[in-house]
Amino acid sequence: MNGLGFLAPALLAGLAAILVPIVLHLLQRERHDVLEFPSLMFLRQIPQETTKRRRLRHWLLLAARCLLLALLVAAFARPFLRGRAGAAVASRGAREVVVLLDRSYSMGLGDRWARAQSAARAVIDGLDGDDRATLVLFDHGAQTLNEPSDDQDALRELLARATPGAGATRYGPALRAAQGVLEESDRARREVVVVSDFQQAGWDGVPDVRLPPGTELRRVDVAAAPAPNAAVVGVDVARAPGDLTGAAGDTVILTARVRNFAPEPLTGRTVTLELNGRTLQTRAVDLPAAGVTPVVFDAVALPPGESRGTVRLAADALPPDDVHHFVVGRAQLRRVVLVEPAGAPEATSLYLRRALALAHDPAYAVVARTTRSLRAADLDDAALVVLNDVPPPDGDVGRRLAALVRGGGGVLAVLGDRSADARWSGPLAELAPIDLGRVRDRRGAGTAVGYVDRTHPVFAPFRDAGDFAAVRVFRSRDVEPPPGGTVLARYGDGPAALVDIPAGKGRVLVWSSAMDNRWSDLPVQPVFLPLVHELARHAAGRPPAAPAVHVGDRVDVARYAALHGLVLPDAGTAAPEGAVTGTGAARAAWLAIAPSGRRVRLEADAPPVLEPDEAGFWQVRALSGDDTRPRPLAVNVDPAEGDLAPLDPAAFTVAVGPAPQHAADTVAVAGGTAVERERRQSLWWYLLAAALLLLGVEAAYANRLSVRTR
Amino acid sequence: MSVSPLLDPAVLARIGDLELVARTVVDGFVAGLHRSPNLGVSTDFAEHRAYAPGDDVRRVDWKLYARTDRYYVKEFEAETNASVSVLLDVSRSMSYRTGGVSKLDYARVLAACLLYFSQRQRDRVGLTTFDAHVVEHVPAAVRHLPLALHALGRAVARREGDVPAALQEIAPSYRRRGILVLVSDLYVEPDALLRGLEAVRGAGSEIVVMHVLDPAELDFPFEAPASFKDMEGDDALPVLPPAARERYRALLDGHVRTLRRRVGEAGMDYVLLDTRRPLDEALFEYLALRERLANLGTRA
Repeated sequence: MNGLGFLAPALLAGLAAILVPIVLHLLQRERHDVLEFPSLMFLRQIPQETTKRRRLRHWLLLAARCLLLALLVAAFARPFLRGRAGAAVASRGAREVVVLLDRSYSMGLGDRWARAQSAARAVIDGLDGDDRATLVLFDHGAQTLNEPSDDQDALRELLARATPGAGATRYGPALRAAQGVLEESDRARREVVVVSDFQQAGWDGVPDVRLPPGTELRRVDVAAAPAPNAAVVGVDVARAPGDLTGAAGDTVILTARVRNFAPEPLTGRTVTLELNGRTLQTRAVDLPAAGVTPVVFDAVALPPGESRGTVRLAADALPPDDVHHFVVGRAQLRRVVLVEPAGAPEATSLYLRRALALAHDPAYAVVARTTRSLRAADLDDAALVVLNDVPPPDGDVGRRLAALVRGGGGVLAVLGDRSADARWSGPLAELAPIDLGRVRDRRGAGTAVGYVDRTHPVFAPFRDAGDFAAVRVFRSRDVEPPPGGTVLARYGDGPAALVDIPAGKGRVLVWSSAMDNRWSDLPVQPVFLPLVHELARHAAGRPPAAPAVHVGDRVDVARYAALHGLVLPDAGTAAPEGAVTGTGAARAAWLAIAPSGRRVRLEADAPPVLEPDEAGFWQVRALSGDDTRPRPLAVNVDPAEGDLAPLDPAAFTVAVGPAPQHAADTVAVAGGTAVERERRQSLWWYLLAAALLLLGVEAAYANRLSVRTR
Repeated sequence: MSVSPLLDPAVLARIGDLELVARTVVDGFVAGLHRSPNLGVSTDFAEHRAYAPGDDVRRVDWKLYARTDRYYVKEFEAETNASVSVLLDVSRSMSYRTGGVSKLDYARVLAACLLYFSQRQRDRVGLTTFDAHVVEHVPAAVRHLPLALHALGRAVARREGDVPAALQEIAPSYRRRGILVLVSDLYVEPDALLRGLEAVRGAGSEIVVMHVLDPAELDFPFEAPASFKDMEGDDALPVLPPAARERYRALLDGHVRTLRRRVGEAGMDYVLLDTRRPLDEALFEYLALRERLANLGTRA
């Protein structure tokens, strides 16, 4: 349909205002003074052209004023041309166009990508004259494919080569890239075309991006009706407790979390667990609407080394998020050195040793030593040293112990008869200067553990259960916590029961009563086992879990390798978080091999940060150092991208658009709405400019007439 | 000749009594002139009057002195040189005024002065007011000054005028030779005017044409565009005065020059009067003409 259209045709009623100057002109003429004159004898002989011409000029003035009003009214009615003429007008004035093409994996759904490409191609085809365009592909990051260019063939070629990736949508980086291009531009008109499925998931609040003033923001939404989609969002690994022979941690119970993004339930979906390429178990599950369903698999015995696991959900409309990869290995036994008095009775360490042996997450390998048999070498690789009713060691052993604590190791001191009197001495005492008091002997019923700090991680498991009031404590040693130490538990009669003293990167925990069933009945109380586990875990530090890695995350591979047991030569013992990257060995070059076989070399002069762009199992290995074994790295797509819920277009436009008047704009893929056409053509601007010009001419002309008649 | 503020036409026009006005003007004028009235000699007795020192003793009526023992001087009608009639245009255009005095007022005072002056010279005085037709006619006679002044006082510019037609109509009334003073704004074609004047002059009268115009008619000082409406018709003409002014002045000037030339060629006299001009100036011009006429008459 060719011709002229108006966005606000009602405003055309303002054309009636044209009557105003006409009436004024008529009134003006009527208002002419009538002068009586004795005779027109001579006036009649004067050629009438003077007055006639004057009248003609006034008609010109009238016409100018009418035209001025008509232009104003037409401009406010927001005119636009339909059809080819409109397209021709729209293309006038050089444009700087930035096409932001969403290539997140959700764009692979249905024909979204094809439609997105065709929409982007339409923009390229629409380039005219000095127009330039820049193609920017974006998911979690933005990749600018070209410098601003008017070479349509090259742009089409770039567009044709683009494919959807495995990343998740983030609008911020893309808009920032567009902002950068536009701010550099010298073109008169600036335009940003966002071709995307506009997922809510990619909208992390209002980005700190504002397109330059005057920028036209067009949204091309290629999302059809949202398809039902479910995703495997994660796999939890629970270590099954082993038996007393020490096989704890070899058996794991895997639980997959499956999320249904659709607002309606999905039934009969199969979930498959694969381990090292073999399908082990399959479950059929019903997924309730918009919720996460745990799918628990039977316990699996792990082979030695790292195992590569995959949980697959029966493929739906959006396959990438139906697969979740993970790496699981046998639990590493953490070394615990239990030091007891030489010649001590069996019961002194019995309960402690048994309790530690039963821990499975993490599991401990307990080595028992007496004060006499303890050597400095025994402390190598130890995560925890338990000083059970013994004073802190002196000499080499003492120094080694202090170094262990400073490096992040832990000490659990259990006080009893043979613990040192008065102040601790030796290297450890420099880290934790503890004053010991007398043995407090409570006759009869003893006292309870009256206060525990349940907000502290040690007592976190007892927040809802665990009756410490049932524990009877008959004897304890008074402990004066040093500055920086914290009392985490007290006996019913006041003295400190548990003191926590941070020291270096590690810590020292002091339990002020023996755990031998003589000073208290704690070892036979239900809270004993979990308490010992929590004390050990707190003192030794929990082995940090490897983070879930998504496509686009930045992964420090050195740290990752350390967390997965790839211990570097001088990374120290029981390397906790951050210990690896700080060492010289971490500055080795690393090699990452993508699932597709692509090799990514991470140079030695910077932290080896990998930004995986493919989902699947990567392999990372150091290219130098003692341990160059490859380690698997499971990379998954960001399951948040599986949420296909659309973004509120107004929120998007208002947040990033240059001006709020575009808030109501929506753009269909094919062609353009009247609003969009009008905005592109901007005829109103020309009309207003013409009106302004005419106003100037009219003013000058009227002024001249006025001067002449005066 | 100095102009007394008393002779300002606007001041005089405000004085209702035309005789008083005329006397004021003429007496003052005459006194300033220091000239004796030029009385003629005749055999037609007109009246007696008391002797006054300076009178020619030969003109004393001794018979009457014998009867009454008083000196009287005999005055004769033949002493007047002529009959002086004023032909006053009272068409509507004569009522035009932009300053203090309309053309008609000016003309009225002027006519009164002339008649009074003539009366003092023992002329017969008469008056005809006309527009397209004769409005009022006072035949010329020695004692008709009051009648004429009265007629002047009543004159109102009310109707359209037609000077030539009126002159044709008047002509039969002026069979006797005399002096005719036509006072008009003369919006008339010179040819037609001349034809009318010739008709009036039939008996060989001396004719003085006094062309009275308002300053606005002379200068055309208007600025604002306006519709100029003919006072003697329904016609109106939108005019942009600044643009028309030069042409108008040129046309009027041409008209005046043509009249002056044609009237002069016809042996008549033409005086252009501007209502701003003091009346004694007008009278002076008239007197100069009379003197010339008298000289001519003497020669004849």
